[in-house]
Amino acid sequence: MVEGIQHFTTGWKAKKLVKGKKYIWAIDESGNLRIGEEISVGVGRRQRLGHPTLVPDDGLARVGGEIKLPDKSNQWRINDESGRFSTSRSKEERANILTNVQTLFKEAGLDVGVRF
Amino acid sequence: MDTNRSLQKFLDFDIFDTEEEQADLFFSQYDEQKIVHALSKCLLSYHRCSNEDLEDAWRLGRKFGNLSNNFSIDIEIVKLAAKENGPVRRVLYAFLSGFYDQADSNIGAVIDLGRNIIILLGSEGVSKEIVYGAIEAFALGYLNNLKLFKNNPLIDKKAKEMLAVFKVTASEAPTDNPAYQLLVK
Repeated sequence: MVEGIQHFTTGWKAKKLVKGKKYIWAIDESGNLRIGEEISVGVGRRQRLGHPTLVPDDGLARVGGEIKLPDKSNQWRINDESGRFSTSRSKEERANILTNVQTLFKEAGLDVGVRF
Repeated sequence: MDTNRSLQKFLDFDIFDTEEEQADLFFSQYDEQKIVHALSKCLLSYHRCSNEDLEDAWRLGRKFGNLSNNFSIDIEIVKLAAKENGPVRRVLYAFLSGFYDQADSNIGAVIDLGRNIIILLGSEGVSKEIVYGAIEAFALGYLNNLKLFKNNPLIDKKAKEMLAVFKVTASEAPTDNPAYQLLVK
């Protein structure tokens, strides 16, 4: 389950990310950034419903990933770990995409790092 | 809990929410053979090959690709995939795709994978999805590690020849298929 989904178009600012919570992100088909808090729905391998629930119409998106706060760090970091939306790209292409996504986060007021 | 069960539980549940440093620390308690055995068991349990199974296998591949010690995992999973006959091979190739996203490949394993794909291409009744999944893994194992291959010109030549064959097969895949996206787009 994903709660508190934030959908950003130009000029919108994100709510502050809260330490201890899990977040995921996706870029929807229109190129807009979406962020949501990921909530566990049970026990087991598939504890979360993940990225398809972050985007409308049963989950069509260009790319997605997680937002994590590493141990001993004050800066949240994004990655592209979404099995549904992040496959079939070379390392170079992934690095370019994540750098562009980082810019979208900055425009939404979130200064995140990138984990390639 | 005995060590084998603890390892299996970690692979089945905890690894998805564990940072690399902690995962490294956890695996350092076990020898490679035990880890490979437990991982193989875990991946073979995804035999339903649902979208979730494929996604989790891919995520597991990425997790192992991020470890500081990759345990020659790709060599073992390529061998395992060659032995399996059922649809679970798709899961094993999804794992390899995730693994090659992050880790340096063992170039010998990539060539072995290529040989296995050639056998698949010449076999009857093999699902196209399995072939495309294998080609995706091969393409990532090669394209993400060009420098490693360039240091071994003979192996690089072989890989390029294989890639040319697989590109023809990938061109027949739907345009949104990862194999098509990687080799034809």
